Amino acid sequence: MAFALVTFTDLAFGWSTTLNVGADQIGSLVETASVPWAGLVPDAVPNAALIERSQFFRLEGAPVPGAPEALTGWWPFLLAAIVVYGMTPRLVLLVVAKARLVAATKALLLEDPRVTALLDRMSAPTLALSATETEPGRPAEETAEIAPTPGLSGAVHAVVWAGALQAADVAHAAGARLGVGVALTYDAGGARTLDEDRNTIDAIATDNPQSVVLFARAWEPPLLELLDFLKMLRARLGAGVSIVVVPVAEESSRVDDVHARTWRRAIAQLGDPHAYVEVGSE
Amino acid sequence: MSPRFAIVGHPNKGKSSIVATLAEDDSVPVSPLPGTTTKARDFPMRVDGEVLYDLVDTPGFQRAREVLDWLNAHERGAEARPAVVREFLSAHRGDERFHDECELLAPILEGAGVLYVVDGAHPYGGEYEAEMEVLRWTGQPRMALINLIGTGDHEAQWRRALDQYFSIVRVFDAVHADFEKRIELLRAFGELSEEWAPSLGRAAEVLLAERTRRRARAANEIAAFLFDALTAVESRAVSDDSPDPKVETRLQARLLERIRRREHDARRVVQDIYQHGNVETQEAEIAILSNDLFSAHAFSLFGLSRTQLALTGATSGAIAGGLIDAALGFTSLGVAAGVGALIGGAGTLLGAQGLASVQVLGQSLGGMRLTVGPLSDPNVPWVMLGRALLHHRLVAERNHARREALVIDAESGAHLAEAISGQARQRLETVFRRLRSGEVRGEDRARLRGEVGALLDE
Repeated sequence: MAFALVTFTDLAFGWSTTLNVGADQIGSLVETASVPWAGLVPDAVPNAALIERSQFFRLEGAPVPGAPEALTGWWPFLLAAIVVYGMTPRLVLLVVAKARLVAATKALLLEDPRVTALLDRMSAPTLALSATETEPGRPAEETAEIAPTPGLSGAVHAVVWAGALQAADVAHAAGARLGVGVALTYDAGGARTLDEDRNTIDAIATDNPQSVVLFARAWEPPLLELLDFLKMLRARLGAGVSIVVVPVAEESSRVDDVHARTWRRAIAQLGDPHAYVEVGSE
Repeated sequence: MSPRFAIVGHPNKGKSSIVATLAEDDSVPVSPLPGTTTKARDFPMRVDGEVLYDLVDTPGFQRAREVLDWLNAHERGAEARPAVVREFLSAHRGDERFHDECELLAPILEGAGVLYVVDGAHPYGGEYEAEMEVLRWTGQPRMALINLIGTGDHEAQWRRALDQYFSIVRVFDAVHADFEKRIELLRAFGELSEEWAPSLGRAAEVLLAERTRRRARAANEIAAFLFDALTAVESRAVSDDSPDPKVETRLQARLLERIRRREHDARRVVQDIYQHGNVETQEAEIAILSNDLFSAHAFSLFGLSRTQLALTGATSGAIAGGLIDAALGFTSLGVAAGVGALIGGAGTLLGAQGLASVQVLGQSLGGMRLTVGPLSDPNVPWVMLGRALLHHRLVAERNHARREALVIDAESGAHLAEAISGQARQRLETVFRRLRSGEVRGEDRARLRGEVGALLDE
């Protein structure tokens, strides 16, 4: 744009001032300003004659500037001034700003907590504690129900499984839970051998009882070997006899709901229509 | 071969809780109903791919007396007993009756040690003898763990029985065991066999180092959350008239929502660090009132206020003028600098208004803005810090065998914050004040992280 202006129009420059300043002082000002390019482009430094000739005053009758073509002599100076004092600082500033932006962004990146967290995770040893296979899907819980315990009459045969009750407490427990008396008490399970348990079943069967009550510890989950015992007992007693399982909590306190549910679910697995679980209703 | 341990015991006596605790796996099904574990499952501890030890969760004995009867029937002398157990296994591999027994004996016969778990809160019973005897037959190193599931205490009775069958008997409350106790247990595993000790010692060291690292990560996240929450602002360009209270209210609501969400995210991150991503938390929302926020309605162009703009203009104008003065040998009496400053300042001011109304992509370059935030109440940072410290403590110490929701009580958080005293309190207050005033310095983030880290280590 400047090039087009300079080439195709005539630009004339003059200078004026209110201050009491002479041409030589303007000359020194101009020389100071021209220092950056004095060595490179000496033509861009206006000489004293040009300065003198191009001063003008607004009042009528003032000295008139010299020949018109002399006035255009200012343009190299002005162009150089614009380039050196206008463009160059802005260019330098642009470069410096860009460099500082890049540096600041880099520093900021390393301070960002997510970046530090990532670097930390990358340098730490990988630690894995959990299982390699996933737990297989659990089958839906069977919803087999147990019928409520029927009213029992007369005296029952009691089996104490794995020391659930002291012998002296059996009668009391039977009375409290089922309202019946106890005819005979047997022990089974626990540290007794399987042979001894089989003998016990035989002994009970020989007696031909109307109902059998099995006392077991409520907090011990019913194992398959207990269910085995009940199946064997059923096989020897025949279908009509009631078998009532009574889970007993510690120190005759109330049976926990979770334990009650566990016992009901386990006994239901037998599929025995005359097997019942009595946890008491307190 | 790396140490392997089969965790054996009656169903429902806390075997799976021990596995969940040691493996930090809160997906291990810990149900009170027996029969939850139906298959042996491996829980190897792997560091950079190398297995340091392996826990095997097994189903419990169901027919121990029958197994023992079979073994006794094939008895050939003490040194042949492990072989007899192996024969039992091969004879009954597909037998449904002994499915659980085979599942639990297989890893033991492959060389695993035995960790036998019982519940010391309930009395000992004779029915345990058969299974303890079967385990003795395997000849493998064995340790007994007395778990405490209820409130009873029959530990002494249990010890007398267990001492007959196991070389090491320890009490271990699976659900409440803290980190130190878990490390102690691992080292105890190492006592079972000389060749296992180095691996388990290393496992303990790795876990200790991991805990330090987790604390550092948590500190990082908590510090980042505090920083974000305390410097958050919401601003909006508004018309030049006095600010509309509805806009202010909306900005406040938005800012508070942002802060709350940031707190939620930080909670999640901390939970993930401690492998508790699945845990459900119950925590009251932080209470911040709209009075606790700064509010400013001011002119802004390129982020500069009017005064700042004028100053920049005046400065550059003065410099330019000053150069002219110098070159004239100061005969101009410094007038050029003064004039330059005036022209520069005024010009910038006048130009700013016009420039501000210029729109780029639908947004004005500048103009009047309503800015809400950051948090102005000096107590709020301490409340946030207290809440974060409490949450961290509960999460870090939470055992993976627990299944209930994590409830965070607001009061306890306040105590934690109040307990910070002296130099640490002063340093934190300095940082908080700087964040509040907006004069954030580069090292504030790092400083905050350092302080929080020190607090977490206590």
